[in-house]
Amino acid sequence: MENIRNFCIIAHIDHGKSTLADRLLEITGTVTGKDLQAQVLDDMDIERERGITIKSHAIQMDYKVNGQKYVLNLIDTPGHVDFSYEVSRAIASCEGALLVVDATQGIQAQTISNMYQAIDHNLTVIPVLNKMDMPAAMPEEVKDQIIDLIGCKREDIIEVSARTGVGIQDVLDAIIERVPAPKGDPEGPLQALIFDSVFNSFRGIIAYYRILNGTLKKGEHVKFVNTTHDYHADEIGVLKLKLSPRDTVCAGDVGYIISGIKSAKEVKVGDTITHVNNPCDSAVAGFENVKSMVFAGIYPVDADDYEELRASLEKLQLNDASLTFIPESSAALGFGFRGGFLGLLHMEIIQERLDREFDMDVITTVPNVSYKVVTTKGEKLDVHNPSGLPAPTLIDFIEEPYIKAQVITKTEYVGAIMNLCIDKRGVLQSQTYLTTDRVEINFEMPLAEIVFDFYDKLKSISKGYASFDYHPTVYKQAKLVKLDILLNGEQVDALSTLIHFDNAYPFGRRMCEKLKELIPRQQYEVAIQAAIGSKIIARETISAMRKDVTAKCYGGDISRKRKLLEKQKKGKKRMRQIGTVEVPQSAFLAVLKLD
Amino acid sequence: MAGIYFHIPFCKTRCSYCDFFSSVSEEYIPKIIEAEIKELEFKKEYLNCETIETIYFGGGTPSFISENNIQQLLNSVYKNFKVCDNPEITIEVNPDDISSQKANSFFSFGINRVSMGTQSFNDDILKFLNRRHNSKQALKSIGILKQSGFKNISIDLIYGIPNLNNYEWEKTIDTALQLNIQHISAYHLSFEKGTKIHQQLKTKEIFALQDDDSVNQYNLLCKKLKNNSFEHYEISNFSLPEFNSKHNSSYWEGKKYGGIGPSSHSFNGNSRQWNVSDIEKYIKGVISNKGYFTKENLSLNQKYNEYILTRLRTNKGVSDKEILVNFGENILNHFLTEIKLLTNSNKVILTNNNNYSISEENWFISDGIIAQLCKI
Ligand SMILES: Nc1nc2c(ncn2[C@@H]2O[C@H](COP(=O)(O)OP(=O)(O)O)[C@@H](O)[C@H]2O)c(=O)[nH]1
Ligand code: SF4
Repeated sequence: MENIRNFCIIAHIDHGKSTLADRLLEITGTVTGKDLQAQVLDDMDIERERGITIKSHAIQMDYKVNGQKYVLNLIDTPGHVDFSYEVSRAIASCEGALLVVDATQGIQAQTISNMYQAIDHNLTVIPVLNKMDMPAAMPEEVKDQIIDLIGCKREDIIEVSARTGVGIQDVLDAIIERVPAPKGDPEGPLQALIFDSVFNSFRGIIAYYRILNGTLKKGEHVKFVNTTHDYHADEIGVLKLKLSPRDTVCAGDVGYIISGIKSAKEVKVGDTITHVNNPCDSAVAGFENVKSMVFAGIYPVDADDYEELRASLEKLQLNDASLTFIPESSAALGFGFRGGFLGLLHMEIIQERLDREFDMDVITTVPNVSYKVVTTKGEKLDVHNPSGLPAPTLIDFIEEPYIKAQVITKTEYVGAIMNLCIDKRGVLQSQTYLTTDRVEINFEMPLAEIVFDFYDKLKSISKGYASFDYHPTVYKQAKLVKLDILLNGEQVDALSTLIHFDNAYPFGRRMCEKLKELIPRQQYEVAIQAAIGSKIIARETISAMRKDVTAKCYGGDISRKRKLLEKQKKGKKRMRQIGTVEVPQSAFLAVLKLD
Repeated sequence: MAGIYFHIPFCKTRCSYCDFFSSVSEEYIPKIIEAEIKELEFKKEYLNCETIETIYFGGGTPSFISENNIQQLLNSVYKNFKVCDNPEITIEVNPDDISSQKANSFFSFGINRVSMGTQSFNDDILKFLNRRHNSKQALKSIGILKQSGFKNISIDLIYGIPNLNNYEWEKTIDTALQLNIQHISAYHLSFEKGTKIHQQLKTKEIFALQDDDSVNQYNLLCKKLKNNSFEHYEISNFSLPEFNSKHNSSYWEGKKYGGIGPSSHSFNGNSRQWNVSDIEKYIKGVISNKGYFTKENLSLNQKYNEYILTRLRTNKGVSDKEILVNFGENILNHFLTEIKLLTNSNKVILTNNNNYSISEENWFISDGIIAQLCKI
């Protein structure tokens, strides 16, 4: 156990986590240039394209120094707020963390909150200043920030370039010297923390764990404490570039277990594995059932694809337990599902995976958060869909989820960002100068407000120089109303939103304007109305199409014309019919595109 | 029964709105005539040796080449095909090409219908369109044609032109009506890619008319022509009783036709094919009898779509009986479902003989209506 080092890398997106990991794998000979797929740790397509790590993974390296053999377990952490619980479990599995900061950028909000988690778990932090090869590097300034944040000594900070390889050896040496060896009793009852799981279409679920105490042997009868399911450890081993089976995995080490589990739902990150016969006294602390934060309707573009969509979602759920869905139907969109996601990014990822991996064309509706409704009869309801709201007369009050939001930006953008957050019903809680021109601002605000157009706005008003992080806090009572959209008098359920009363009027107006842009002219006049209950609060009119004809159709025009009209028909088929009005798919996301 | 179309791909100069396939290189004329005569022989088989009812010289500008050339082409039809007793033989002419001699020759060949590209009787508009003639020439040429004995004369008009106001448009219609001609084709201007006006529109040198103005000009046209006994028998075509263009109507009635010359299309009931839009490739291709056209076989759905799209542009409309006979029950059911929405809203009406047709005032939005009925 003395010679094991477990560590993770905490870094903001693009600060060089993956590149640095690649260098470590190379220098330890874990991978050779040939199998070095540009970045080994991010092995999902979408992850690579978006430059983010969605799910954490782990890899074991062997390293020999001064005649001593060391085992280094690198546990990767996802880089987005939507996955912060998984980050916390990865951190809980380590004794050390590399804090990688881009020397040209400085510390970002995401880094700070992950850093606090690492410090909370008593991890040894090794600060690494990356991209030192770049002329724009500002080592002294960024070192000041790091010292401020973790209170280390200036000389503790290692300057590296993950691109050129300079300084990587120092990082490796620091991991050996500074990160403490794991503690734990190999003879005690088994206590292993699951920090991740992946789905393999041949082998089912592969769970990744860190053993805190005890020893796991192949074939043993184990149980998962929180789910209470029990299994046989069909195969166990450690994580090299590929799975590397072993007969035993001991306290302090990181490994995997395959036990015939088919669905990711059965394996919960944060759960504890122990023996059935000699169970540990307590589960590893900190287990949480991850809850969906954002909900949206998912409908097949072609109604015939409903069953296929269900099958695709089920398959996605096999390897992404944080995705939830239940059937729902909409008058406008037909049969579909209400999906629950960890956040907006998670929702986008699901949408993209449906498209790429399953070739499913879907419409997703306006996302919303989950509301707690208390009825006049005192019942408590969780409402995940505006149309699931009881009639206004039956509602006593509604509560919505709040978040603690943290923004780090340059001084010059503070004013604009404050205005944005206040616009979004945020309440300023604190403002801290990290350096002379970097400020950390903390807000409390409703989650619903960031579900709409928050990120894009933040990005544009800060010219990209703002990083954002949030954590759900409590539910609070709010004056919410259901805003409906009507097309020629017909309510479009898929366009209803729950919104704070104070914002309802301007919001309704903008919705109508946006829909006017998105709905093409029709053969009839179309009235677009926004309404609260029976009260119309905004209206736009799309005048009827007056001219839609080509003048000539002689012998040489017929083929071309036919193709044109067939294409038009295809377009019409993709539209949704609301009464007499044809509505393009894009309109259902109108609310996300309000400016 | 079938029609023959000759494409004469030459013009003296190019009009600013025109995207027809046409060239100003006169040196190719003899070779094209030769090639077209040859292509006509090949078409015998494609058209299954059907009797020819209509012959049409279009362009380009058929009046731009010599009368002899026209005669040669015409003779070759008689040589290769059986032609019915009273064929309709049309030639498109430009006002500036018409002399008594030319008109007499055409008449003597048996040509019995002339379609003249007058476009407008306003000289500013003619200039904008980059036409070679002025209104006076047009009026004079109509006189010459009549003198030569033509009793079936058609003119082309264009409306919906930037800067064409309703008053000027009405004047053009009135002038046309005073000519005592039998047929008028009136087209709303369209900005086709590759034309000068398309370019001008893009650079904002000119602006398209508002749809409302277009509609007003269309309505004015319909009203005036109706008051003068013209039948509005296709979106852009009006005629005195019995003077419908038989050749053009055959396109809309799904009859067979052989298109001769570069860029021409042919149809034989089951397939469409079109020749290359390139003079040299066309000539070479015809000589070696390969590679000068592209062919497309039509599926049942496609045939139905073409039926809908051509026939609903005419006042004949479509008939559910014909749909059943020609396309079967499946397609008829599709048609009946879709048509219901359209008849409910009066976009489509039932004619006296129980056909479905788009009413005159809705022809201007017929693309959307027809697309609705298409089957894919
Ligand atoms: N110049 C320079 N570029 C680097 C360095 N490390 C990473 N990068 C680049 O920075 C970008 C983001 O790196 P990546 O490792 O994907 O960051 P991650 O999102 O934290 O995993 C990539 O284009 C890398 O090539 C470095 O030391 N120097
Ligand atoms: S409109 Fe007629 S005359 Fe003018 S360029 Fe086109 S084909 Fe030639």
